[in-house]
Amino acid sequence: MQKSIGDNLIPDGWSLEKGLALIKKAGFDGVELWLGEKPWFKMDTSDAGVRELLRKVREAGLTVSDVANSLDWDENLSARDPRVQAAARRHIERQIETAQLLNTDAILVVAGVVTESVPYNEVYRRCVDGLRSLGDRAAQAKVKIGCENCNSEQRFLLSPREFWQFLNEVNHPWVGIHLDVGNIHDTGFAEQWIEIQGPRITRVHLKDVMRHRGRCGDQSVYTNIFLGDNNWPAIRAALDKVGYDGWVIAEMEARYRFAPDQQFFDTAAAMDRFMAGRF
Amino acid sequence: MRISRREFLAACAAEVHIRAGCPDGASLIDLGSACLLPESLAGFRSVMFRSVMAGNQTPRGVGLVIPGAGILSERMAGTVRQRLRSGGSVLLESAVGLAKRGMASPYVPYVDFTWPVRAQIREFYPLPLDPRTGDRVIATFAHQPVALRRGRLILLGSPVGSALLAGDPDAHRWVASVLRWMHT
Repeated sequence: MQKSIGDNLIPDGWSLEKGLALIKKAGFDGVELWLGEKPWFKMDTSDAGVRELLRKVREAGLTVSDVANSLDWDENLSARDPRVQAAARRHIERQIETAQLLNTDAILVVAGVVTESVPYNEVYRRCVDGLRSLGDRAAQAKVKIGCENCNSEQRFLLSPREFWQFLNEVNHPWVGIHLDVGNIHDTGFAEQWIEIQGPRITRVHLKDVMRHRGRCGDQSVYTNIFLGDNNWPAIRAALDKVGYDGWVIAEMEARYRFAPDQQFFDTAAAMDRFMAGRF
Repeated sequence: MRISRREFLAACAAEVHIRAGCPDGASLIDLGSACLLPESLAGFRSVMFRSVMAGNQTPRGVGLVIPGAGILSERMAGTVRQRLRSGGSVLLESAVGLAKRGMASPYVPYVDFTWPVRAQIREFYPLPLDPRTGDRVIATFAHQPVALRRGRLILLGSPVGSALLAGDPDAHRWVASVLRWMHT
């Protein structure tokens, strides 16, 4: 098991180099790069720019754990407008291309956003169709597509059986789940999700969640590892049970009003304890 | 839990063997109303479906599998003793823990089996067992022994049949391995 953290947590105004140095110093093995989030990795970043990005990551002593994106919320595969769907497809294909360039084998997508005006059944069908064809592209590149479970935010695929059934219908060996153990909130238990998804897990996001708090304005439900309600020993045991030994990636919200770099050190230390099973 | 190709093929072979219900295979005992956990019986039945016998029949084969047991009748206890004396094997699954529900803290939901294969199977109100001298503890839950082997007798304090029904690959692998052991 190796630990990583998203470059989206690098404080605003910091350079990539300074952020990577902090990630390394805090003890991480890798970095999750978010397409569309930071100035160094946008849709218009050229292949040469992506190679330069990789050079900097390597120079910092890190590897790229996976390529995520922050674009799916505005450009989703499930959109009604074909132009928006096409844009979603473009950025996911770009993730696949850049994953190859960055020498990693997994990407994260948020497939499907249900809204009052884009109903569940439409979203479901578009996502199944979209992921099937993107799966073929991913297979060519040997890059796995991990659909993240953003349960509450997506209002989609809210139970582990439902997600399992969804992946059955997509039925593509290169499409799996990027499992976020903090996103399940009060609708279930992360360890049960892990058991059910098993070998389809492409990557794991770690964060803690406070089940009794709603997401309302700035009152996030998310918190640092070990401070919330997740049953971390059970999550660790479930990962063992399904034989998951891949990347675990901190996906934190920037919660530190002061000394934001401290969150990297605290997170890395908590992840070390988690990986070692020392609770 | 990783599984090698060899283990996988062996498990598949055992599965075929069990499903075929060969005459010298293990018998699955349906205790009827004395079975406290019919769901576990159903789980075992799903992998041993041709070998089910009512508790008042004379079981055939080298092994007995008795799921969901509470207190055994004199007759059934006698059958178990006789089977063990004649060199056979018995898997006796106790469902007594159902009446003694408690929650370990921190709660990690898996029973860790170490024999005949390593496996993690979801607990089902496990009953802590009290090993005697010579017993081998083969599974623990929250550091307490919940399954042990006493010669050819396996005492199981945490039923696994429900995990079989739920499709848990570890449970299937563990049961297949026990059934193979019964033939040795």
